[in-house]
Amino acid sequence: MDFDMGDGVAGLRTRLRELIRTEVPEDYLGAFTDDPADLEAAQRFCRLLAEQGLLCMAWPEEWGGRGASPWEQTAVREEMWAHHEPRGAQYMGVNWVGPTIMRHGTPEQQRQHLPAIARGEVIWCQGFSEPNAGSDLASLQTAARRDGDGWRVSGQKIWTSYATMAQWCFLLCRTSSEAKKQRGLSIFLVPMTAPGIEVRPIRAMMGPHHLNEVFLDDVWVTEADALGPIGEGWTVVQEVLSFERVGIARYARCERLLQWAPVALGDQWEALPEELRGSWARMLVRARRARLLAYRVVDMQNRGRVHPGDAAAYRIAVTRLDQESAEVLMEIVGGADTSGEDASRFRRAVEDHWRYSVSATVASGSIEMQRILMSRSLLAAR
Amino acid sequence: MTGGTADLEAFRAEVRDWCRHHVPAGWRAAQTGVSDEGYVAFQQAWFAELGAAGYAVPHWPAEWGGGMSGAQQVVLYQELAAQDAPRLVLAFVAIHHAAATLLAAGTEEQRRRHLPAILAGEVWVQGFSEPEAGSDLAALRTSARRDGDRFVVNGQKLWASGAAFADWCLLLARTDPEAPKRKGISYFLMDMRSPGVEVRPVRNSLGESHFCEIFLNDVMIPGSGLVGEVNAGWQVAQATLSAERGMTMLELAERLGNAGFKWLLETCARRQPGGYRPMDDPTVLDRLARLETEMAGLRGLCRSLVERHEAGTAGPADASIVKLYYSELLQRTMDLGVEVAGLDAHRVMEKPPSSGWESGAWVLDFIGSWEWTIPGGTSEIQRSIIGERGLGLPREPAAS
Amino acid sequence: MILELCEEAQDFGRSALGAIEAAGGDRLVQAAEADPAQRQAAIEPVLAGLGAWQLEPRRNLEEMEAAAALCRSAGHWALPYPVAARLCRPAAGDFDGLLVVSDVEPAAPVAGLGLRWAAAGLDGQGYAATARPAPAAPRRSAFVTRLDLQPAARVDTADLALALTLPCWTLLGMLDRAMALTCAYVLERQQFGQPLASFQGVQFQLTDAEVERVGVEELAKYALWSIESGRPDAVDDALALRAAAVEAAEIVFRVAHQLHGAIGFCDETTISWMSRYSAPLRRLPLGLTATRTELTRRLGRQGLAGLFSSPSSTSQ
Repeated sequence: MDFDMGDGVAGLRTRLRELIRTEVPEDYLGAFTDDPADLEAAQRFCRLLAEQGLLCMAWPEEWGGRGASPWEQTAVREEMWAHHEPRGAQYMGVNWVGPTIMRHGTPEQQRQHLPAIARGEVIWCQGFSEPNAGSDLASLQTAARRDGDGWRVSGQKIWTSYATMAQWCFLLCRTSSEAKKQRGLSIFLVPMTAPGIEVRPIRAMMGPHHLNEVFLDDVWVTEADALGPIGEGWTVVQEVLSFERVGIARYARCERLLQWAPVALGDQWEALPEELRGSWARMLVRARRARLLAYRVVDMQNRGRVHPGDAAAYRIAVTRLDQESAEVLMEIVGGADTSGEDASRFRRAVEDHWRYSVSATVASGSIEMQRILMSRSLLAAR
Repeated sequence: MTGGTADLEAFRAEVRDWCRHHVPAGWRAAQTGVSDEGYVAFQQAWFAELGAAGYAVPHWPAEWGGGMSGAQQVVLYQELAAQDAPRLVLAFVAIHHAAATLLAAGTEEQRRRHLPAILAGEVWVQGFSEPEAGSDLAALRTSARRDGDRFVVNGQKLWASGAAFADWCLLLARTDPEAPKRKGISYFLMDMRSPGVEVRPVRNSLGESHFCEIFLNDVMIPGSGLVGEVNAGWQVAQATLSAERGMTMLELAERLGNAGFKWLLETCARRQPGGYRPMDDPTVLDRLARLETEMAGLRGLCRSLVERHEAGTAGPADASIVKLYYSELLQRTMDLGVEVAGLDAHRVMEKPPSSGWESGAWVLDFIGSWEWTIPGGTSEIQRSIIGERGLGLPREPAAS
Repeated sequence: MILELCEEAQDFGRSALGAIEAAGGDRLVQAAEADPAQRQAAIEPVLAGLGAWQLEPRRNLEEMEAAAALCRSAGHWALPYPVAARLCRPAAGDFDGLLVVSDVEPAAPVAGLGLRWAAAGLDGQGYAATARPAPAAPRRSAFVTRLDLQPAARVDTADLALALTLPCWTLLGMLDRAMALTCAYVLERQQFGQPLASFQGVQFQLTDAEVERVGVEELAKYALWSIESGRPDAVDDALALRAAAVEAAEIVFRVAHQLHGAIGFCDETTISWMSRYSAPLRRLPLGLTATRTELTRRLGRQGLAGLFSSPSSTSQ
């Protein structure tokens, strides 16, 4: 066994931290705030990462990447999430929209989209969930109706992150209503400027831009916009979701905030109730546990034998950690004087973490869905 | 008896005074490691003492020897628990389940035959569960075949607490194998001395054997042993199960809040070899405070259940809520007890069978507490009842 | 990054599982309970046959991993023998094994073996330990007995960390077994016309327990690696593992008992035996709260080694 990622990864980590330290504003808590400067900061940082060859490291050389190892990719995920994702919404394009277009796109689609993503210039949104299709995604109703040599798409998407700022939408809709609901779904790559698309923001506790409704009214798409064969959208989506098995490295932000707590509190740390410091220690163990479970999934994926149950175990552990650590951290800042500079920055980071953590067990596959997946493999393997 | 505040305080003083003169001093030590005979004799004597004072069956109607108001029962159980009186373990099924069944569905003759006998010490066991019918009680297979004016019973019952000492059994058996499973069950009173009844103890994780299996081989039950109509036993059983989930919780909650918490505090205050005292540990104090808060909540819930029960306003899930709350709180209390008791917990491996789940023998109580989320309807079943009958949620869909 | 035990260790673990099964499997603990005096004669030859006494866990990572795999297999069968403690025996001195003890009331499940024990406090203080006669029959005591201690030389960090870590591997083996038994039971047991496994309330309890089990597995591997790579905070890593393992054991066994129903408290079921003999591993040398308190004390304001453990890197 060897739990050391090696000097290469350590070097990359140092380089990313240095870039974040020098290029991201000290008070940055994510791109999606009421202050447009935060989004600008993220866009600037993405272009910088792209110039230095750090944005799409995992991509093959052909598309401007350098085939980074899974552990380098892990380090990127960790560093970015730990520091409030200074790539803003770009990770979607980099992590799965790009790779999916590489596998299923036509040469024209690849030429059109991949270089733009690689330069950090374009924001994508994901048109999956609908008011009546959440955990049961396959029951979605947004329909593409054949019209001449194209389709007219009508329906409604919801909980669509970044839709107000996105240039493109990765849209899943129904092209035929065959008996089995998973059949007859197709994917279109649609510009958000297309006539008939209307976006309405939803104010939510995570802050602006995270949640939107997208209304589609006779939006015109053609064969050239379709990604992969018509009617095979479900298969492609399953693959997309498998790119996201490890998903965001929530444990990295938890670890950073937990380790920051005694530093930020200074002399006040020892005055905290022993019970609370005990909870803090427990959270550090839980953060390590979640991190090791993430590495286990990465490792299994490398060796091509990851089971849905393994990924689900990690997702359950990490989303619970997110929420439990947020509670403990809120208690820690709640009882302390945080008027000092570092302490007040810490408090704001903790509050942001808490607000975001509330959605951890709901977003991208609810914890109930993870438990269903996990119990299936737990009980089927015997 | 009216139950006004002043009357209640007078009653409290009366019970307290009675306890001071009648609770056997040092009974816990004397009953630890006692033989079966010693345990039965002790229980019978204690039941007789309570009976003489009018405290044995306070929840029965006045004409049969009870007649206390709900408020008085609350006071009685509070005081018995506070004075660390022994529990009525042996008489439990008789005074609660058997009596509730007879009062709700028995004939006048059956009541006259058994209620006075119970007050005189007749011991009952519940013969409901079977190897293949636990949570799904209606799946029971023990059969009762009509033969003239008698029934011939064959089958096997499991988890029958105290069957070895019982005189009579509350028995559920299938009288119509063709009917839907809840519609073909009948309810019987069975004499445990009937030929063909065989009792075998089941050892649990700690070698105790208060659970038994009952084997029934061509046992004859006369027609007079039938309770209610033939094939209507399921409805009768619901009445006795709700007795288990209802008033009995009050006594248990008071015991947990008194004796149980007292043992816990004593354990926490005891200095262990090497100087460590759990009470000095802020994390322990924090957990004690949380448990104390939860116990106050439990006792409040129980008292309000009694009141609503009496006023006829109890909701369909109220008893399930109390049982779920009690059993999970009991487990959390025992978790802390077994943890802070340290190695001591592993040395005290005997407890008096007349105590409840709060004897201070932490490992036994700890393991015993696990059993609580299973009998009388598992926690899963309680949650289903709360969801379906209390919150009006739909039944869980059948698995595909 | 290599996240699994080496092939040799895994093979060794599998042969140990088979050898213990061939020697009686679940019946070993039952026989030991009925007749404690014969357990040594029944078990030691099996371990000797596997080459357990030739293992030198601190010689290299392969042997340490093999030792861990053996402990896990012993846990699978609730082997009534202190395998982990024996595999930790110190290089110096004439001892048969190393026990970690609390300073409150030193005890260990080593009654009646007549072996020579070294012991270590969590502060690294070394002792020569003598086991007193068993206080009660094993059914009551699970072979736990008091130790009399004579101060001796300090125990080094790696020895202490290993003696904390290997028993957690044994406990992990018990958790593996408890989960396997429970999954099998809910698939087989029918109520309401379907297997218990088909109820979502049952499934969700199982998944929560399984998350705990796999979490312990990863922390156990990490703690082992931490010792082998000579990290100075190996004891912290071992205590972190222990805190997680004891918490996991509570959850796994509670779910196992709950889903087995009443039969799970009876010795007809294996889970009843696993549960009873897991107790000493969970309580000694420190229970959950005491383990966490000790870990908290050691972590101070430094925290646990990880992505952000050097103080300068936490704030930007």
